[in-house]
Amino acid sequence: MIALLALLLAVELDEPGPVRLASAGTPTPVVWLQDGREVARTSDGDAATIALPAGRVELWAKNPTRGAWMAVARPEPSGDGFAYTPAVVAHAPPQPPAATWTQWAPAAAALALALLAVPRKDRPRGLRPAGRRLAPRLPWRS
Amino acid sequence: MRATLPALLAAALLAATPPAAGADTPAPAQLLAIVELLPDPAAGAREFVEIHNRGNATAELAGHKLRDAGGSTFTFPAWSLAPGARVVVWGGGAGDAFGPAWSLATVWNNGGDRAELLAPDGTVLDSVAYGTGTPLRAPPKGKAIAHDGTKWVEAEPTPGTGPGQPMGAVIDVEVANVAPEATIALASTHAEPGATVLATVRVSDANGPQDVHWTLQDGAQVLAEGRGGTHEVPVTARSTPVRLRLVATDEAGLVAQAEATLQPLLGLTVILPPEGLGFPAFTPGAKSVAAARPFEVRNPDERTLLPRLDVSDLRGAGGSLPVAGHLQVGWQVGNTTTWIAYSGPLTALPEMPPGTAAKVWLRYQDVPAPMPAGRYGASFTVVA
Repeated sequence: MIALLALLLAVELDEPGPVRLASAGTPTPVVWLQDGREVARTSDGDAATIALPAGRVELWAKNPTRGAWMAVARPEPSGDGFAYTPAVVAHAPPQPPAATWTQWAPAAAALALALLAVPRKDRPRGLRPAGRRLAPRLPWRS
Repeated sequence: MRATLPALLAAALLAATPPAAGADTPAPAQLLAIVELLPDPAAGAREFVEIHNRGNATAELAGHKLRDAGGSTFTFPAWSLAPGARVVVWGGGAGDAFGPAWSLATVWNNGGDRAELLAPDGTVLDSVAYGTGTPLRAPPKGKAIAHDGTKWVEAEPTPGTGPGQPMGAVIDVEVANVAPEATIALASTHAEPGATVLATVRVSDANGPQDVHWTLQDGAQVLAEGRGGTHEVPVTARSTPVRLRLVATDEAGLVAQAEATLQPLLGLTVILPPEGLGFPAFTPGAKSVAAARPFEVRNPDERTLLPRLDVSDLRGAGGSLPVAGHLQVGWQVGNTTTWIAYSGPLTALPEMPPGTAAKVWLRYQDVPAPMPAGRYGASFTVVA
């Protein structure tokens, strides 16, 4: 299983303006990319604000953690008091732990031993036919 | 000529060996034997193999197998065979009172083949070989090979009866056709509306995949249908649960059903008071500036969600005021309000079980002084 390394957040603004970026659940900073270029880094407990043009912009949030984490992007309007703004949210589900060489070693050793034990001429060269029922009919068969 | 008859050999040994004094020597529980085989039927007839229960106890055939020389295998469904009774395994078509049918129309080679009867554990209970390379000649078209009790002979086919007996006289098998099996597995039980989730449909039937038809329905709408086997069907999530129903019907009319539900991934719903939160102006040195009204957070999902609050710093005429360390969040469920200190972006709030709601109060404490008086604003969001 390959770890999920990046989340895609599509932000769409009616007019150019600041966008607030935040993330949670990563032990190391999340790197934010726009058009392949790093535009911000965020850690748990802090946020970054970037300026984006009007229209749809795709932001990638990257982090190698295998735990569950999330990334949030939202416009940051100015005004009086506290104003609610909806956000674009992306989640990375927890990933299974990566197999280490110690987990692969026994299987690799067993395979190597098996190959040594089977005479070369008897080694399978490919998949067998899918099944007897798919085999061509014999000419004397009814 | 019979190739191996281990079951009969065992019976012969039992009969030939005098019992020890006082020893209990019960008759063998069951002796299943192949007694007839028709490899090359006349026009309009079907191939068949006949099994005879020569024991004195009912034989349960479920899991027993018939196999030809090429490895094609028929597995018996649940089938009880009374002592002395016979069961026929037909080639192709449908089963009947004499016995079930193989999914293959043609199994037995006309020129020569070998039939083996296997126990569920793979033990060969009986076998017969005919044709090329065997002492038993392959029968001509329309003729069967049949065991007359002592030897194999060429005979008129009499499925379900002993050699020489009129066909159809013996119907003492207990027909126990089994219903097909059907399962649905969703790649994900929850998905955002519009997202596609693969549903894996598995339908099997003892008589083979072609003997069972299935439909996958979302309410009255048929999403997919087909014959037995394993199939992947894309299912589109929506904002309401997608209740999938798989119905599999075999040729005997027996039905199997399975259900699965694709739940919408709805996230949190935030409901703002129409009048706004009603935040007053910030006064330098004020102990607390509180919103007049709360907003409401609801969890319409079927999962427990962890809401998180994100608030930007306050900006106004005097510049920027930090919110972390100053903002208090009142989490009201029923008449109980818990105050939580906002510690920074995506501060975790109390978990919300499915279907619950909370009112959220905001208040800013310890306004710095000196600072220019005036109106300050910040944006916030709640996500999960």
